[in-house]
Amino acid sequence: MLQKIFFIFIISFSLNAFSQNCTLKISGNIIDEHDKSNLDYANVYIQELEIGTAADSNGYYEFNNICPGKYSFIIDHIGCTSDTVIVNVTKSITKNFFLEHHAEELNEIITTTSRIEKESVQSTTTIDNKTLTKLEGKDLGNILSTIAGVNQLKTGTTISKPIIHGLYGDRISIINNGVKLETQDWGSEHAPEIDPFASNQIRVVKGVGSLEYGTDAMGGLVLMDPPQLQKNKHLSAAISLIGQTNGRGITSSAKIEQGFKSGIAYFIQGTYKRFGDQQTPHYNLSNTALQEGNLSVGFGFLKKNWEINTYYSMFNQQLAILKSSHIGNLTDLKNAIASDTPLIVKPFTYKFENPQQKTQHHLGKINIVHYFKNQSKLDIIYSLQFNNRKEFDIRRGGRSEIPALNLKLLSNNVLSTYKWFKQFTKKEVRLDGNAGINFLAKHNANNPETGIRPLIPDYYQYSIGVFNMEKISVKNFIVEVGARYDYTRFLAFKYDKQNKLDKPKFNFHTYAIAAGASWKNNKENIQLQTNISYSSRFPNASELFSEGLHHGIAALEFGNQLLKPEKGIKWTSTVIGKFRHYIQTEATFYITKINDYIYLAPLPEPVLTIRGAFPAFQYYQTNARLIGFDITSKFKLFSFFSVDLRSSIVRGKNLTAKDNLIYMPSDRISTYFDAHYSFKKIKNVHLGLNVQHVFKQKNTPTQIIDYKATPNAYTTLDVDAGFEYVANEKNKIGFSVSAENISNAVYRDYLNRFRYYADELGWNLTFRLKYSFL
Amino acid sequence: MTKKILLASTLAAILFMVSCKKEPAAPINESELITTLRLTLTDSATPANVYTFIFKDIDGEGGANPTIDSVKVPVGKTYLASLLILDERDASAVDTISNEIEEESADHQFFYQSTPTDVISNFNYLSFDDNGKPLGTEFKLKAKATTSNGTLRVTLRHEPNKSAAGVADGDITNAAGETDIEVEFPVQLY
Repeated sequence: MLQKIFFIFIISFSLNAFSQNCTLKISGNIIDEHDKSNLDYANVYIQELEIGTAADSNGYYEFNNICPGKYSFIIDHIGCTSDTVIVNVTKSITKNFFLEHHAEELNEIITTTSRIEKESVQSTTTIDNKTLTKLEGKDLGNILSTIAGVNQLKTGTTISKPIIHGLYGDRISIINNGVKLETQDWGSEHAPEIDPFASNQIRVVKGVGSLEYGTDAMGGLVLMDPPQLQKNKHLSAAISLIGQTNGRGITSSAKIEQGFKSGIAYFIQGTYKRFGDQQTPHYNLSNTALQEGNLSVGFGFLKKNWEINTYYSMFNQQLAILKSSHIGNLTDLKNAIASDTPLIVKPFTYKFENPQQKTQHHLGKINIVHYFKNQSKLDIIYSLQFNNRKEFDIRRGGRSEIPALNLKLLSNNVLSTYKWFKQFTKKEVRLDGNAGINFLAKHNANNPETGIRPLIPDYYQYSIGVFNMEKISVKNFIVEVGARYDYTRFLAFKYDKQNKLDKPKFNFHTYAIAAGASWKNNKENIQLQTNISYSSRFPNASELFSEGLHHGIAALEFGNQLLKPEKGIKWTSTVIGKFRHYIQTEATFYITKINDYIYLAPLPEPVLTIRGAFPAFQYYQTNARLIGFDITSKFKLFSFFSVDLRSSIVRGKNLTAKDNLIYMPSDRISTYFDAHYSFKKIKNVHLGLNVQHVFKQKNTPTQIIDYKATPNAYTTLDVDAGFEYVANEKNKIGFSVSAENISNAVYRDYLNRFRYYADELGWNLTFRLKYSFL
Repeated sequence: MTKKILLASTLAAILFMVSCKKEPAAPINESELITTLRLTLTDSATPANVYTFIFKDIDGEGGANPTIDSVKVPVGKTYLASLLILDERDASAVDTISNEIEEESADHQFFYQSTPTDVISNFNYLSFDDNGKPLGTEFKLKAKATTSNGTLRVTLRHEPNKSAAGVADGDITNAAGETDIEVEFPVQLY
């Protein structure tokens, strides 16, 4: 049946292929407004058509086969404030664009406005706006796992943490609009508190990346970019409505952006999401509802020599946790595992019951940018973040209304950077520098109302960091080196079982050193990148102090105050190859060696309590090594048909214990077949089929007992189809349907901690309707 | 200019950090800890013969190991049993958790298992919840007629499925719920 539809689809394409009348050519030069020189390699992007091109070395650009219409051209260039110009295209024209030239760091990865990947020595994958639109309604972990080498560590169906190259939690930094997200990410059942709808694009750097954010991101960086504040940008708005069958959920989101000639610009974005219990192929997952309400606002003054940007974002989430996963002791866990279906299955409901989590995250930011006459730039970001996490448990004596865990984390961060560049008379040689200083003050407080000894104690953390990065570009060759040092003072207030106060103090010195090189040939169809970086991360509060019972996995966990910082060396090499327009391949190979890798090791004796005997774990350090390989290939077989191939492999070893590391992603391969075509009024008509195969994880640790055998390999099939109706140059309506797990496959995933209790989700239909006003 | 701005922001940040009060919050008074399970057996024929056995883990999960008494009672008799659950961390203010369990009797049920099964048998519930379903803070049991050793397991389930098959008769198999107490007493019948 599917094949038939597909066939008809293709036929209808070929019939309509000749009805197009879009043959206009737009070309011209990008010129510096001050000295009238041509600006080389500027980017030109047509917003409405979502196409972009880069000017050549003489500043010349051209677009071919453009339909008549009114378009917004966004022009940006390294060292310039980007500009938007509206052009009414009725015939083939020559259009020159003028830009104000400032110094802007080549390596600048935060305020980049370019829709086309900027040159980097790091392996960076961008999920652009178009792809994000296709994935609207999904959580961050799900969206990121579409990238080869990125996986998710899940707790049930609603909690997902990204894993980059086998590392997760504190070893990954999430950067929201230039600010490192400070959350309670020490818990594996704590998902990052961030709304993907607030971002225009998401980038993943599979390496230490920019040293601006710390010394600890040995796994990688996730950069979330909100809409860019732009001068002279006409009012645009978008409204999305999404419905899903599994969980009978609805998600809605709206966004408005505008920029005035005076330099005032703003955007407002909001999301609401709600769904009830989700379903596996055979049963309801009782108590898996979710509700979310998020808001983000940006406001800025953009002047010739300076900019002030302010940003506020709020994240509010309530999520219920699978009832059958709440267990009291090892006997309960064994009973739950022995049963093929969860022990508690009730009819569908939107209601929330305990256990559940309520989380809130607020982020406020003020960013002052000053451009100097010598084209250098000073950038100061002050940010304040407040994170509140409440976890509710099934309790006795009417205490279920009182959270069992109530943590408040307040973080203050000041990041000042100074960026400069020097262009040598021979235009091919350019030197870029970026130096900065970073202060961080954090306070974590337990609310005593819980009536339960806290999992982690109250603490204060103060850090000061300095960093410097230098980059030299010679023709097609770029070399970058950088270093960062952080001093952290960590003060904790821990009560022992007799309520005696202990005040452990720690001083941590952490470093990061990074060096990388990138080369591409003159035809720009081969690019090589290689990086080596040293990074270090000090133990977090959970690793130092945690003490208590984890209900989801029936294990006692103990911190270890003798832990030292982890030190990792990661070597990454990437090859990017293009063969005309037909084939594009990116392959990344990496080795990460971590000394004093912090992990939970089982204690030899179980601990006897009044609830029975529990296996006990304590944080220890070992030497670990991860080796992996990711590949992404795109084959454009016809102008209307492409095939994407993605695959990743990673192996993690505990070198001291001569064992495998726990929670390593299993090997996987996925193929996406995509047929797409644009008509005059109906654009981006597409039909896609994604086939993903996940192999069984055979390299599990032998020294840590797993209560249930590793799940088998599985294959899932997803289909998506949609189109955009362009009413006129100002109004556009997009509609799409995607069907996930269409074969209703019953499977469990090794990286889902609830695989002990229940299957993964059954089939789901998602309907997406998006109206955009440009 | 640059230096001034950098200096000012640095100073502001340092001031901010120093000005924070570094005071700990008050300690949290744990309200749900169970430290003690007291099992009292009364000879049904001779009520003057009372035997008490205690499981005690005064510092909760982890820390020092719990102490467990052996259940040593004469053979062949029927005993009336009662369970008292306490939080004894503060000896001057012992909290009787049994009261909470009795208030929420519909959400709790005790189960008893003997290994080998014939060492202690004929378990019978003597206390019930408001719906007439067993609670089990009071019960009856019979000791084997010959000298023997074994174990007695006492389990308390929170939110069990009391209407599942066999649960009302004291069979734990289908009870589900969450285990709040699971204690094994060594048994020596003399």
